[in-house]
Amino acid sequence: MEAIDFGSQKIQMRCPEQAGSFVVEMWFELNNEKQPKNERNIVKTVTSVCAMLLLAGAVSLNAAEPVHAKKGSPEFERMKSLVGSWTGKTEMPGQGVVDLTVQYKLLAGGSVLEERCFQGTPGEMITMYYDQGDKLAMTHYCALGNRPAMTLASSDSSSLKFDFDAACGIDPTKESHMHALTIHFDDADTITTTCKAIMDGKETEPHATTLKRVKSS
Amino acid sequence: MLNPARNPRKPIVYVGLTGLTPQERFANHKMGIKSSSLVRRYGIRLLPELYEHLNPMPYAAAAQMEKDLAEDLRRAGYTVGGGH
Repeated sequence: MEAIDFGSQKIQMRCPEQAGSFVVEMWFELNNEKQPKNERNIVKTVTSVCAMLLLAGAVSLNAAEPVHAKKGSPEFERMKSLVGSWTGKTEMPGQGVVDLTVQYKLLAGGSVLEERCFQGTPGEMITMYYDQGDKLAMTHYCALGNRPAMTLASSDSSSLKFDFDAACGIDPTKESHMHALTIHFDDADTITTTCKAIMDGKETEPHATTLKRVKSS
Repeated sequence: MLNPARNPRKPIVYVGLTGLTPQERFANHKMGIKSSSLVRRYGIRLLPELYEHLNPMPYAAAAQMEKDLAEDLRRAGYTVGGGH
């Protein structure tokens, strides 16, 4: 049990298996921007030491600086080389061979690589690659309606192999899901991804897709 | 919480970690349930564009991500509370 429900109030009772970050915007009257009406009364009461410290901090202003990407694991750094657009063809159940476009984009100060495919369609999916500790991992937001996670199982000079992370909460015996992925770096502008799913408790044949980098003209 | 590299165009934010949905956790903060006094008093809205792509993760990874996200936001010019 991760939370108990007291009427409309959910209260977390202990560390859950899955968690997430969240960011709240706060309003202190540091600048001259127009403040939201419903917060005016709150802001009038700002007398805390913390707010005073914030005011002091506000006077030492720098111009906006870019987010500095931090160094990731060697495997994550290799994944970063994929940033951009890629195209290829893949076989989809019931649709035959279809065109596939995949976009890779760095987010959160270079700490997360987003992979987005079938953009703008009902089957649009994303996969987020990140370092978990010092090890490359990923979470796939699947059109099957679940979020299998995988961690790096092995790597060599030309490929990265991911395998299912049981900590993601999916029961492989009960829920169909993507289970493993290999990314083969054929050359600087060609990759082949091979994924394996478990459907109705049975492992599917590996499904390979070759993608070519889209070069800007 | 002070950020000498603060960009005045960027808001002051609080970074947290939860096993609930961010909406539920924010509501709890505002109701004073296991709340940060800063968020309870001054929190005005969630900024999903800054965290949505990261969630969910296994708890240990999310705990580390909370710290990393706070640090990344500081480097990007936000003044950041929480994130520990």
